[in-house]
Amino acid sequence: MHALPLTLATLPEYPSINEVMRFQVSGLMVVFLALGSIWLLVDIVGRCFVASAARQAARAKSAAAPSPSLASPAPTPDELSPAVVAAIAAAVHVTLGPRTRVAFVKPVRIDGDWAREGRRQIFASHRVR
Amino acid sequence: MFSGLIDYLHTTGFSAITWQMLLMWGIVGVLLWLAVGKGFEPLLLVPIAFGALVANLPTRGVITSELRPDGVYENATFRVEGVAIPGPDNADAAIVPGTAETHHFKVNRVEGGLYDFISQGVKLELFPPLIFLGVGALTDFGPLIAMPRTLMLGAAAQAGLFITFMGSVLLGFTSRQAASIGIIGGADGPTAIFLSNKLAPELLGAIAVAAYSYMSLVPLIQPPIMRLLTTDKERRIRMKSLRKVSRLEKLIFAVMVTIICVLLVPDASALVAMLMLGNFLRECKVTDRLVHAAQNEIINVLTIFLGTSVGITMRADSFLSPATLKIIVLGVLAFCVSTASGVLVAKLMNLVSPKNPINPLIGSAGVSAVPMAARVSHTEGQRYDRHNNLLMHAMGPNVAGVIGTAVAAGYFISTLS
Repeated sequence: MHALPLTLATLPEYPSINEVMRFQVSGLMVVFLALGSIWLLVDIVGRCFVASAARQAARAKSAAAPSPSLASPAPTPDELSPAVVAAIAAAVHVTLGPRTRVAFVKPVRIDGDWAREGRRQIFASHRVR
Repeated sequence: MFSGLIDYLHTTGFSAITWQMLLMWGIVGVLLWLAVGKGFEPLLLVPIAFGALVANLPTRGVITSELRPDGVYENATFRVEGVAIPGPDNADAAIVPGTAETHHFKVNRVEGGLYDFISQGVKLELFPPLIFLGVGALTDFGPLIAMPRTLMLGAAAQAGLFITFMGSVLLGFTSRQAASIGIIGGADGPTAIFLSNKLAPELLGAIAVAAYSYMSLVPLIQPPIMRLLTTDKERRIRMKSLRKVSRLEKLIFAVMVTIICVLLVPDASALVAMLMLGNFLRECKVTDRLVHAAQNEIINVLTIFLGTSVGITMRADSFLSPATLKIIVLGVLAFCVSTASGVLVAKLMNLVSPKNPINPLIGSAGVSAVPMAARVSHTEGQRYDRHNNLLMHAMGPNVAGVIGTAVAAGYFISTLS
């Protein structure tokens, strides 16, 4: 069973330059075709997942909006906008339930620890073959 | 009394030592120094070097080599002794060449050295796909799935294989040998061994040594080419953060790649299927024991056997030839062209899509050498912008290169075998 045209299988033991060039171009086309097909399909699947995640997030946001826990928002520092507080309250509502009350929200300085941890995991998860 | 001692000395290996063997011991010393002293790919270079040492000692009961009529050494052959069983299919118990008759034999004894049997894992092409199982279990395809256009960088880096194919043909190698030499540019050891065992087993030792040596030298070979082909501004390009990829997406990817690659290049089935099986086991999160085995015991045991089986093919009489020197030169060419083509295609992609640019430094990671090539891209990027983290982005073309090399190997096999 061969997926390639039979003509390609006739490359002689000592091919001419023309034959070699034809062989090279065909080979590169096969590689690009294979990886290009994967790109196309991964992209389509990826878009479906991104759209689905966006729909879920929107649904969660709308479900969290009329929550009684948000009726009396917790006191916040000046630098946090009401939209951020609402998003945090919505996340708390969805994950911990409607009986939860947000008492205090404080911004934390982000200094790159998560990025560093991600890089550490990448380095640790691969071994040199 | 002395005559007895002298007779005994004749049975020892000292009398069989040749200058070629001594030269090979020197090469073994260099490989061990690179592996142990410098830490270059020690997991493979140590077994290969030790296998080469054993191959160049007058051993008994380790491996059998026979000189074929075409002047090539046939390694790992063993003798099977048996008797024909009388029966209706075995009227005269004689095999007539060219006929499809069935004969029954009873095997009484199989005689051969240790590596006559272990090397069957290479000869029968069992070890490379099984190592790919472990590689799949160790690889996270998330960065590639999050940014699938980097697949093109993995494809572009295969240009080195085909350019080197032409160079090898021009230097007098046959098309099968040229394909086996070209695959060095893929920087993927198991694939190089898989392909050369199929197309040019006589060059297996030299190709494996060149492939693994150059893979270990990626941090030295690639940066000058990357700097030569990029501007200061391009090296500082910051790429968008990658999105989070779900488990289901990774599982679909594994199945999808298997189906596409097997349909397009059936001869790469063994490599791609095992790579993706290992990855599926990893990502499905319900086969922890199997993943652990694939990531550790299976790949470790096979690495020892594969390395020594390859090393043991490096007999002085076949390794010390002009062909080996040519392979070493062509191997560098393959690496350089693969690196350059990855970088250049990244630049080309930036011309086509300037709104979401790619840092061309990650193009060089299209040669497989996982994860070393990605680390080189990351380190090189940080030389110009300390806060530019390219590692995750470079992992995309890096793992795409593994798939691309397997596809290219499948193309070579289907067209040349």
